[in-house]
Amino acid sequence: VTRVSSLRTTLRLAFRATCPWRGWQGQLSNVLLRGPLMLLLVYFISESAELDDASISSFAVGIAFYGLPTVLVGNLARTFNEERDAGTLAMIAISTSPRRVPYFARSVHYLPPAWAAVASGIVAAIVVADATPDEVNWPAAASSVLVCSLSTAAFGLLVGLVALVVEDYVAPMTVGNGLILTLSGVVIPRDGLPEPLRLSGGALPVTHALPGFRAAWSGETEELAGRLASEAAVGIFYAAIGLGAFGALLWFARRGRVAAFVR
Amino acid sequence: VAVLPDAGFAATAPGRQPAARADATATLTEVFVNSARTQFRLSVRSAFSVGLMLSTIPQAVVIGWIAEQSPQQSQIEYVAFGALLNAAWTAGLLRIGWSLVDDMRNGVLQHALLSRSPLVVAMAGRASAIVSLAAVAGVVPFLVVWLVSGVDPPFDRLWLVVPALVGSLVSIMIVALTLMPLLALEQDKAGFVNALVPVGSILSGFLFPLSAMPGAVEFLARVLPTSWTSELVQLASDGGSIGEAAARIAVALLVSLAWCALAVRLFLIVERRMRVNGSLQP
Repeated sequence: VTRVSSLRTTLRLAFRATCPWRGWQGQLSNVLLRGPLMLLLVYFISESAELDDASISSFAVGIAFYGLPTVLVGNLARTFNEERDAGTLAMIAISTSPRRVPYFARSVHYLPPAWAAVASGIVAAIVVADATPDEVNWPAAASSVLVCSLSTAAFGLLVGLVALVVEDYVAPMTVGNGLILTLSGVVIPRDGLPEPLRLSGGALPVTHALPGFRAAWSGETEELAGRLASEAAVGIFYAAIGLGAFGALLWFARRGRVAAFVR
Repeated sequence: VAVLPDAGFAATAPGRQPAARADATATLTEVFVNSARTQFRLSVRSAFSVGLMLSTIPQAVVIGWIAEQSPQQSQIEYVAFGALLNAAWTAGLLRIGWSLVDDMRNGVLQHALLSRSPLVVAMAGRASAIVSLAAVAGVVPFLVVWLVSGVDPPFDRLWLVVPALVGSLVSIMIVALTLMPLLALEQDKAGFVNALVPVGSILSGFLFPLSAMPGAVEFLARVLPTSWTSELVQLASDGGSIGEAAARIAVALLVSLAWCALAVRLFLIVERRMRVNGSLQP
């Protein structure tokens, strides 16, 4: 089996089992509306709490960027479980193709919806919170989104493996996305966190790319390269751990311990 | 009204039925209670699931942190109670909204349709059990907001806080009950309910006063009974008078009655459609 055919097969099977593009109402609510609705909620709470406009604008941009983990971790956390239920996961175990192809390929489907979520969040930030920038550095903003997409996908895949092992995706997905929401500076500034939590946040995706995105939204590119390099390092870290864990699961599955692969 | 005793069977797992009576009849109250009791048994374990508890914490931390920035203590109290209701709304609506559809999928809705008991009564019993258990999930974000914000609980106003919270839970149950037949009538259920949950949460004003919203949106929000009961919670936080509270309770009751009438009408449509078609597929 060539890598190309392995990739094609994986994409087709994963698409059938888990693709989130089916059903326009599901897409509308989960991809395009979730971020703006969360933004509306935070906006009204902030207005009631009499926070200043600059803080609210910063929250709005952060919540728009949070669309990436919402879609990627939210979907990748359950991709392995749903494939197991669909009966297609065991095919990976009997395949002799390199394991990295079926492991990473499944995240490809979710990138366009994740970017759409960020776009809808940005529109909402401009309309609702008046987060209109004077001069956006689009290449820097796009780079931040792209690098963060890859690191978040690597994190989401690892969360998906945890979900596969514990046979429940809700708790791992909630913990994964919850950690990003609370520790990555999406709403709560990292400087205000206790030191252990601030350091823990540094090991999460989004943490390093989000300040870069916020700066790009204001037309600045200072420290962008360093931030994106840190974000990429976080992504590589999770990709390496995830690939190793996936290999270990396959090793057990091929030796008859297939509980994780066949329900 | 004399009806068969298996009205609550829609909420039972296969092999689990309410105890039969010698005269083979049951009042509507018995139908309601049987259904609620059975649903409670079925859902009590999942109500305490780790995943459900965890899912409420991150948002509670964020809104607790935002509320803590507010100079007004009453605002923080309102957000803390709102976090409880918001979690109950989310968990309750998702579960209730899906329960009729799940019955159809599992093939047990036939029993409810075969029974001469009104489907809406059995489902109301089920909804009451689910919302009661969903409120358990709300305790976690409530405590998280208190911990994050660090304000003192309003023990001196419990006489108003407790009825306000109970009224809010009842109004959540009524809205969710009305949505059940809508989900059965709607083809793409997932998108439908997933969009309704956050929209309803915002319009209900669980976490902020309705006055923070634009006029047109506030007017729309007034259609929901939950928006009136949320104002009651706000009054409890601000230390409002009995007269103000009574006025809102009266309006909330009227709006709730209208929603109940709508729920009965929609359930009749669902029953009729299924019986005429001879199929459980809408």
